[in-house]
This record gives sequence, structure tokens and C-alpha cells, in this order.
Amino acid sequence: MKKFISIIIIYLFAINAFSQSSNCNSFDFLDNCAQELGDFTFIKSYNVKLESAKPSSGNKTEFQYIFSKGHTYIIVVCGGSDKEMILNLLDKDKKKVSSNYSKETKQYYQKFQYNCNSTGVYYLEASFKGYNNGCGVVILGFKKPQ
Amino acid sequence: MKKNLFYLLLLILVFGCNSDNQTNESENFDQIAEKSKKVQVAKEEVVRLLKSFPSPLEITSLIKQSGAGYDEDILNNVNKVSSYNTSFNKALNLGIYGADLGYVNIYEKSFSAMKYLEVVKSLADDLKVGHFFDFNTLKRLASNNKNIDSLIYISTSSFEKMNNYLSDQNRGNVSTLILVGGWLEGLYISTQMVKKTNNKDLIERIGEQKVALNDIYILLAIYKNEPNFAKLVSHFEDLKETYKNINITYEYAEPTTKEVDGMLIIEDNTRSSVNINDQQLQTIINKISEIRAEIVNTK
Repeated sequence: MKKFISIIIIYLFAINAFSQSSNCNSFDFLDNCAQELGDFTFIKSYNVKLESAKPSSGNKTEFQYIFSKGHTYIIVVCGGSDKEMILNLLDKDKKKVSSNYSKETKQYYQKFQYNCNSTGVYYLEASFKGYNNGCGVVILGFKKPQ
Repeated sequence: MKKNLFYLLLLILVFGCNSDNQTNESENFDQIAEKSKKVQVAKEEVVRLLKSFPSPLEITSLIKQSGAGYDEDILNNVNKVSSYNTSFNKALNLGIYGADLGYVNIYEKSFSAMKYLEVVKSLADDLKVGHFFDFNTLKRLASNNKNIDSLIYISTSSFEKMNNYLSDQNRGNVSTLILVGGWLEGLYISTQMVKKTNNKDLIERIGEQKVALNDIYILLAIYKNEPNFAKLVSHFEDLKETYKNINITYEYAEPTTKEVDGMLIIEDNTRSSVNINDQQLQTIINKISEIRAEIVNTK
């Protein structure tokens, strides 16, 4: 009898854990973090959802966007917990342009500005510092002329 | 009691698992896994590409920056909305009107924004995605020029929510058409402005669309066997051909980083340039006009 109840409890916990992971809703983060755009205009957001239960997905995820010459962009990184999201910006040849985290100074930035002078596909590579799972959103904005 | 609990557990296990149980048992498990993997990869690829397109807002803001005046005559007339009768045409023209809405927003024309919001709502409702747009809020924001940034944020994020939903619902084909319509309209507006202003920066941006065009073509080609797509794919093949000899060159230099008021600022020191001559530009202008006319004048 106790064994059956234990199994049911474990199963319900598993369902609960799964549904919590499914609740990683980027639009909740987006609406909360959009103010970080300041005077930049919102373009797009990317949902970051890394699950340790899916080791095949690796511990990082990648998005892409075509940045245009002459435009000034802002990239806002917004995690759903106290885990720090690390975002690397890579150019069209997948060469690292910059990151919101400096290994040397251990400094972490929630957002950074990119003054683009070369049009092309850029890659945004997101991971969580010290974790192989996490949830959050990356928001992209650009400066529109006044 | 024990027996009841056993059945309860059995029910939870059976119905709590995914719907794989409903698949034909004769199918080999490896085949099923491979099939679902392929579907998943295709879906992820579609989402990745859909998210990579430059926003039409960027090119329209450049138009404004170039000093070109507001010209509503080049936009798709809102009165045409009732003539779009198929989901295919509705989706493409939703993208076109969405880009037009971005253009009027960038120029802060709130009265026109209301008109374009109406047609966006109408087409989105027809495609059963109207619930992503809070039109009362959008209309309230459009009624005052001071709210233009909020209006842009809410309308852009509504389009994004709608596209995410469509992809999740395996309606990536609809999402693709909306984005293709938006991209095409942004490019069409630019080409019409270039005809008037001959602005060099704008001409360069038109040439740079070669980068996006490659991704758009890949995306469209995924659906080339679906009804109506074949002709659109064929148009984009022609457009690709038109862009074939336009070269984008790069002079690489290491980026520099500085911190200003706690904000990290990265300066891209690589320079890209586009080689596009007058004849190539004219061919692009003509081809874009042709494709766009076919889409907006269709029934």
C-alpha cells in the first residue's frame, strides 16, 4: 500500500517538474525585461531554454540575426532565475566578437551595445554560467533615428 | 483499496505518457524516432531562419534617416484587404500590411497607424491568430503620437508571439508567408524611395538584402510542394538570379570594446561594402515591383 502511494507521489512530482520546465515562457521575461531597452526600439526576442534532462541539446543554444551596417544595436540578456546567462556574439565566420561576460575581470553585463559596420549573419550563443540548464530571454533592439 | 490504487496508477501511466502509443504498431520504432527527429530538425531550422530576418523597421528607419518624406501612396492600400480570399494571400498581405504599419509608425503617423491596425486585425482574425493583438490597447496607443515607442513595441512583440505560435502549431508555412511579405514590402518601399532620392546608403542596403534573400529562399523552398508556393518560389529564384552578381566584400579588423557609464559598447571595425551598378539596381527594382504587384493585386 505504502509502495503504491510512494510511486504515485514520485510520478506526480515528475509531472510537476516537467510542467515547470514547460512554463519557461519567454514572453513573461520579455515584458519584464523590455524596459532595459531604454531608448532602443525592440526588434526581436529569443527564448533560451536549456534542459539538463536533454544532454543531447548541449549546454548552450544558438540563434542568428542579420545585422546591418550603420545600425546601432542593443542586446539585453535576461535570465529567469539567479543564474547568470552568458551571451557570446559571433560574426558571420563564427569568430567571437564579444561577450557580456569577461573571464578576465569576472565582470558580467546585462546588456551591451554593438555598433555594426559590416552587414552579415551574426550568431548569438547563450549558456548559463556554472549550469547546464536555465531559462531566459535575449532581447534585440536598434536605435532608430530621431 | 490496493486494487483501486493499482488501476489508478495504471491509468496515470497510460494517459500520462505521450501519444506515441497511438501510432501504427507496425511501424518500426527506429523509423518513428528517425521521422520525429527529421520533423523536429525541420521545425527548428524553420524557427531559426524565421528569427534571422532583419526587421522591416530597420530599413524604414533608414529611409526616414535619409531625409525622404513620408509617402503613403507607395504603401498597400487598406481598401484592398477584402479582396484577399485565400489563406495564402491573407498571410502574405498580413506581412505586407505589417511592414506598412511599421513604416507609418516610424514616421509617427498615428491616424494612418489606426487604418493599418484595422487591416492587420482583419487578416490576423481570418488566419485565426487575431488573439495575439490587443487591438484596444494598440488603438489607444495609436491615438497619441507620444505613445509611438509603446505602439511599436506592442505591435512588434504581437507579431512575434503570433509567429512563435504558428511555428509551434506546425503552421510554419503561414509564418513564412507573413515574414516574406514583410521583408518584400520593406524592400519595395526602399526601392521606391531610391527612385526618388538615389540615396547611396539606401542603395547599399538594397544590395545587402542578398544575405537575407539566401535564407528566405531556403525557407520558401521547404514548402515548394504546397499549393501556391511553387510560383512564389519561382519568383524568388528569379530574384536570386538578379542578385547573383552583386558582391559584398569585407575588410576584417578586430572589434574594440569599451565601457561607458556601466554599459559595454562594442565597435565593429570590420567594414563591408556592396558593389551594385545602376543596371543591377534597376533590375532589382523592376523584379521587386513585379512580385509585389502580383501579391497585392491578387484575389
